[in-house]
Amino acid sequence: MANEAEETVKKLAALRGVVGLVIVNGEGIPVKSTLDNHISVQYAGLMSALVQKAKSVVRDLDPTNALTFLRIRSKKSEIIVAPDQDFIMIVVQDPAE
Amino acid sequence: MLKAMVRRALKGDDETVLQTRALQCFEKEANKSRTTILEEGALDWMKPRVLLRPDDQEELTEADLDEEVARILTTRNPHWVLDEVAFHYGQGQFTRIPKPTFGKAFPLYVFQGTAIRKDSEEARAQIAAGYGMVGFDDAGPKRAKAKKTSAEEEEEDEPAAEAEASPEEAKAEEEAAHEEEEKEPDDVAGETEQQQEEAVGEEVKEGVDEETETVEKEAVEEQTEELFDEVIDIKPRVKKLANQFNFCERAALTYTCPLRTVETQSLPPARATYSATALQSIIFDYYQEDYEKKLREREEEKPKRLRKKAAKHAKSAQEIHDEQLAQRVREAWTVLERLVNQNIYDDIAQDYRYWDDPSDEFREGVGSLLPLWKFQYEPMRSHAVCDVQWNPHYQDLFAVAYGSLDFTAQQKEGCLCLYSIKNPAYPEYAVITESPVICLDVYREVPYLICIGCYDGNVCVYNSKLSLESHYQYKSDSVRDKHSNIVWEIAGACAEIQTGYAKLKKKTYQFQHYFVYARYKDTYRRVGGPPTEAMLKLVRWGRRLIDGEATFFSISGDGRVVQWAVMPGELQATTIITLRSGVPPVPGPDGTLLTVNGCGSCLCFHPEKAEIFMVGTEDGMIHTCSKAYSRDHVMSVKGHHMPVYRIHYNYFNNNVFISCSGDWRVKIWEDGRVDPLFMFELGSPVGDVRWAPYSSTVFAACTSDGKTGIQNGPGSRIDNRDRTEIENEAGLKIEYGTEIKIKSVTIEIKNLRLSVFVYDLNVNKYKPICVQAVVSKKLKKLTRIDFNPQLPVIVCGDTKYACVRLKSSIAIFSRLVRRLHSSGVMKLDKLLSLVRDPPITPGAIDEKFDEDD
Repeated sequence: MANEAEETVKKLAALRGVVGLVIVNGEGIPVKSTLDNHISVQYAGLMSALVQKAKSVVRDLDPTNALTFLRIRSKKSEIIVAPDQDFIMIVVQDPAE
Repeated sequence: MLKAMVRRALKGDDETVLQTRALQCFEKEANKSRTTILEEGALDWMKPRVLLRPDDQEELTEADLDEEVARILTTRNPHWVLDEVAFHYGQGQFTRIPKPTFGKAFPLYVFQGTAIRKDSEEARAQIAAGYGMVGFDDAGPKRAKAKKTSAEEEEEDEPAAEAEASPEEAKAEEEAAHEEEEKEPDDVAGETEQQQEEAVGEEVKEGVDEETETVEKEAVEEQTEELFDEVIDIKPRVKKLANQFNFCERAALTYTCPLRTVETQSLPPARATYSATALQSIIFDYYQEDYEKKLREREEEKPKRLRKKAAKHAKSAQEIHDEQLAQRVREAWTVLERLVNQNIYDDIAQDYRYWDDPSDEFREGVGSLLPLWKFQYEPMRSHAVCDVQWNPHYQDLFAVAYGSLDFTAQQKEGCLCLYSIKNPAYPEYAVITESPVICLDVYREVPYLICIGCYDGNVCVYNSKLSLESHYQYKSDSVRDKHSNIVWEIAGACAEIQTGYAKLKKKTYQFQHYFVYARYKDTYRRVGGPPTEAMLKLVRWGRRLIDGEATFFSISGDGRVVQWAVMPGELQATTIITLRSGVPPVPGPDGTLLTVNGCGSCLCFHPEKAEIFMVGTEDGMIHTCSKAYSRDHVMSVKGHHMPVYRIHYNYFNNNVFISCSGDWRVKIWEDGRVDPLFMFELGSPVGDVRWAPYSSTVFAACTSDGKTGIQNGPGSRIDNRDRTEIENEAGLKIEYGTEIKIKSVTIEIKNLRLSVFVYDLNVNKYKPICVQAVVSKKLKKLTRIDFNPQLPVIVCGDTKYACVRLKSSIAIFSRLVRRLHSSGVMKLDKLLSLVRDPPITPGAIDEKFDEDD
């Protein structure tokens, strides 16, 4: 699994336009990142809060529903977030590249 | 007397000792209890209580404290001495001491009572004075003082005028009082009586001159502090009878405990801030949890044996959690990857469904192809795509077989990949095989089962559902069943190989053509043509057997068609047919005649008749065979001059099929006819040809190489006469050798062009409706092509590990679809009827081509 993870991270990071990739564990701590430490921590912290909020929005509208993915399109980049109860995966991509 | 004194003193000592002991014991107790409290820690805030003790208190050891002192009380006085004598200095002799009047009794305390006898003189006097009569007076109470001590009594005796006596007198009086106090207890009793009498008399007097006396007496009182007074409220004129029932009231002040304020602060209780938000979803979750718990409880109520059975199969909660987590992680990765790719290939994703070439409007009968994605798998850089096939179930998924077509530098391993158009960057599934993969087929009924044919002659079945660690699900037995690589191994070093090759007369075009023979059990069998050996040419899933097993068929260079039944745990091989070749037996090196097998290159099943299939061979024959006859072919047609690469039945008309070959030609045939209905020259070896699934008249072909001017249509061609000669040469010119000689033939072509041709017979029988150059690099060749069953997309593979996907222009597609719905089959029939009468001859086709030119 660890090997597989390593490979996948490498694979994803090599894709065109991918700025960085952060894997955050259940406690909101970045466990794997291709970005600088402080940026990863920032992403992890902010995204955890946003994901929590987004989850509760989806769940509150319909409790049987669940948040699966989150795409944040900004002027400069796109942040793709895969939220889970045990981890959060964040990919930052510059689609213009 | 002295002795008595001593005794008393001793007694006192005894008592003090006892007292001290008692005190110390008490102190110890108190300490003990205090320590226990302290140990509990509950009252540590309390101030420690310290017992006050005199400075001269005797210190006792533990042993002394513990010692028990027994005291016995008896009625008999042990100190009683019968005859007590003392030395009388006056008489100069011992005299007997007179015994005390009260006998053996020993007075310890003498208390003077106030009760007197009624018939006594004193009582009578009191009664006479008017006491003893109880009554009430209106006037306020008056104070009178009763003097009890003998000192005051003496004072009383003095006249009132002497009240203001000199201090000397007062002193004398004091001394007298002292003296009296020091009187022996023996005398006390007697004296008490005396005093009593005096006191009574005095009281009587007091009644008379009370007012004057009170002031004086108070003054005296202050001087003599040792004396104590008693204040008695006496109501005047009320005669209070002093008898044995009439008591004086005495007020006494008990010891008052001083008030103490002790304040303390207990430890503050633990505090925590708790806050929560009750959202609808949270409430829902708790309900779910509760429901599950109830279910579990119900489960536990079930009989034990049922539960045991379930528990055997159940994994531990941790394992399940880990597995699920891993699965979720993989899913998340897949989606992330796809999202990233969607951003990257956004324009293509838009195009592939909706792109329309505006110029199509003005070009009647001509369409275009738009290159879309390019799929590459980096580890397979040096491999060629040997087969591609769309997944019949998922329209975005296709399988790719990576092998090698360069037989001189064969790769050691191959790869089976599944690509999705949603993720052009990496294959969804990639599994490295031990040998290069030459062909594959996806099982239509179970789309995750893929059978592959390998270069070494083995067939495998892969289950793409399983993870990559678990390898193939089935593999043919490499000793018993697999295609004739076994011949190589048995024949070993002594195998005599006959290799023949032919050269084209025209130097610019050289075609590789080998026949490989091996001696196996005294017979020489042709085990491979060009390319070599046992390489599997094609695998195809067939119909299920009667008892439900899935089967697939394979054809190989050794000329055998083998049916493989997928049994549980193994593959069971049955040889359906061994191909004959038209080549007469060849004398071997030792004189024996060699029977030459046909060398199969492709296989195609009839879409409806399950037992009928067609086989294309390396020498260009197209055999129609039946599973029912394993000896002979139903029909044989000399279809091509070069290896047949593909035979494909039309989707709409089961009688019509198309074939392509290395002799640059694509031919359309009808069942039962020896001559082709149509013939197309594409100017270079045609690697693959496919009917379009949406139209009866459209097919696409890809060529491996060619020369310029192809887009003009099938104009350039080789003289048939030359071709025959070449073929003859190839078949007959055989060189003997003891080792395999495989020469790669370089292809010298000036302008290499690799193209995909799409023809629509209905639009133009002679020209392709579109030609698309897919790759332009010199070393690349197109190998395989496949139509997507639903989308207007074609996939084709090249020799440089890339799969290119092309989109047929919407113009082609929509036009075709429209026609399909109106008259799909009729259209082809109409066409066919045109060509059937009169039967065409190759010459006629050539003439037509000439006309086009």
